[in-house]
Amino acid sequence: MTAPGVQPRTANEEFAARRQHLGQRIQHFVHGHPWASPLVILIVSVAVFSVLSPQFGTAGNLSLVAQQATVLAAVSAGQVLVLLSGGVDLSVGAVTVLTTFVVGKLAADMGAPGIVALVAGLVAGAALGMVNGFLVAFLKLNPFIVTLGTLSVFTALITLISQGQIVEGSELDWLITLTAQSFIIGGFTVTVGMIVVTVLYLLLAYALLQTAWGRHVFAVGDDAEVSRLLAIRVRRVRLSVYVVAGMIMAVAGWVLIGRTGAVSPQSALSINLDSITAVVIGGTGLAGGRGSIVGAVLGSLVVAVFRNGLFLAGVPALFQDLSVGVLIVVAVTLDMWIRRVRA
Amino acid sequence: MRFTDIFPAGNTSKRRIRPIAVMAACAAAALLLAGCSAGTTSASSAPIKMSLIGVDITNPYFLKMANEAQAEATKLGVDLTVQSDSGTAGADVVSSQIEQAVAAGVKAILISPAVGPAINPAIKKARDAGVLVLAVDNPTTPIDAVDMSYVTGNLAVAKSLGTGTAASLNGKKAIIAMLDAFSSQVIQVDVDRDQGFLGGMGIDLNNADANADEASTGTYNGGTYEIVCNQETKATQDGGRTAMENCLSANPDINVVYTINEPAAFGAFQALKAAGKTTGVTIVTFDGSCDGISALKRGELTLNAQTYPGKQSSLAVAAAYAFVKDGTKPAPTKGLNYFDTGSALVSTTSITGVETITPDDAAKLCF
Repeated sequence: MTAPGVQPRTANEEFAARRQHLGQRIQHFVHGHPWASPLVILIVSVAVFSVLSPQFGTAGNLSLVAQQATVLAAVSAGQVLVLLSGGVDLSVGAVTVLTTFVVGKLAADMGAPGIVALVAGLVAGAALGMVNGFLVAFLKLNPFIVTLGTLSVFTALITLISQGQIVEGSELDWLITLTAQSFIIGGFTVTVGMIVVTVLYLLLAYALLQTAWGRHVFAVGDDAEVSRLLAIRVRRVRLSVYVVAGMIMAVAGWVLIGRTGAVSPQSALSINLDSITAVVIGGTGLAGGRGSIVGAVLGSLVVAVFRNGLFLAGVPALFQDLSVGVLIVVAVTLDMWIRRVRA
Repeated sequence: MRFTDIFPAGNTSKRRIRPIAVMAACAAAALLLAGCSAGTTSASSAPIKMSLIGVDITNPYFLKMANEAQAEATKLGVDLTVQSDSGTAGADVVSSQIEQAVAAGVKAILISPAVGPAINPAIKKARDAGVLVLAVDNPTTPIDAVDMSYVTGNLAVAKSLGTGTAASLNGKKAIIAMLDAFSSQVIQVDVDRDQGFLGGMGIDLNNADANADEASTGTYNGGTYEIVCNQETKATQDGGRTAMENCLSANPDINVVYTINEPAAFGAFQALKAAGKTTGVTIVTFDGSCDGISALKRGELTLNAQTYPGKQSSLAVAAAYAFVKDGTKPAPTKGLNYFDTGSALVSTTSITGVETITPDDAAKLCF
């Protein structure tokens, strides 16, 4: 019985006010804030590894881990964009390295000024992305299989352009190797590459969260058929996503040159799958439409923290691979559980 | 991503046409390409076919090997195909490539058996089919699994690096970082170079067929040592950098860095430079390419074991040609059971007890 003078509650209000047990509360929270799970994993793993080995928690080592995660974070920015639109890109690493060769060859062999070479790299990234985008969006081929194919094609192009030779950093303009410059703030080393990646993420977040284009990307990823009925140009959106991802890869390539100190055909060999790992751990589902941009950074950091932390703790190398694998399974399972959230 | 996303069921008739058209176009293109590259198959005037297998041409060392082999083949009128694979291809891939070469009718196979003895059965099948098989870059295990090897023994070269390092330390404590190629797979060259280097330094190997199982502290030829880490670099430059960074986090006082090859060494130097340690660290590596010799001159590397991949492959091609033409069996270097294409320890300073050559001399021979 309700007290006199108080309106009885509607069924909706009753439901909204229902008591939820802790599991449901967590499910709801993470559904709304997908960056929460990678953040918790990151904080817990940093704490655990700091306890296991005193060298882990030093400012010097932590900044190393951040540097080691930087290129992966840059590539993951492109990957999260593609995944949010409901696609996937298995060729991200090859695009990154190929654009570094466009930049390197133009600058070293043809003497182009740094800015020209970098812009050419950006254009090359966009063009390569357009190939992927065209095949996925207009020919409606499955993105998994298409990008698996373009991965081989782009890798072959890398071998063709590079002829196995690296381009030394010393032959390149200061602008191209700028991402290697670093300065120390409070014992922590910050590289220009890290700043570039931070700016990249800020721009990407703005584009995805504050523009109509961004909304369309989420819509297409969530349900392409409904989006089409809402007069969203699904093919254009999908194509644009791959083109933008290609340009992000060119930026990642710029960071990679700084990190490696050279343009090398053997760079970033495992980054194709590592980027999917990082993005999935970061809370972005493989089915599209839902995910976290900042989670991609957190996911990259988690991968780097695990590899570095396990090594310093004296764990044999094969357990590093095992642990990253376990992380992926946990992340995907978490994603499935979160998607089942009710109301 | 669902299963039905990758394999959609029940297309409408309109959509059925598109994938079939695409598939048909791709199949036609593939057949056309295959047809173009097949060439004539007339028996009498066909050039001798050979195949170079097991090389990763994104690595400058193997690229030189492949290029020199092609040059020699063109000179002799031999049709040489190079089967390149990525650095991490396994024994099953290489075995298939050997079988394909035999099926394609080659008279000789040049193989770099870096993956190890798992490919020996495929080699035996090839030899039973009458194909001459020559090893380059690395000897097979056992060495007589092939008809002849044109190699520099990695073990011997690595030992000289180890001996040279031990001598140059002058009794100081050796704080060692071992930057191997792989930790999750075992390949022969990785084990030979790692164990050879440590053996040359006089460190107890425990099991000479396994890396990373040595005692972390002990004595070497000139004093005491501590092995800080065994990290994998995947034999690449960025792998070398990450591995060196991790090792330095574990112990910032590292003064000896063993690297599997030059790309890993370049990456390691980058990490040391970023950590402000450009002097006082002995970096040793293998290959002896022109880039590597320049790095040595600049003081970025300390010892470089120069090998001659181009010589190996061109000598092998010539020997195979001679065998096919008039049955001359390939001969080893006198007193050895393989043909030693030589190696040289390159160093800017001379070291007592070890033969070295100067960087300028090495630059004349580099690739």
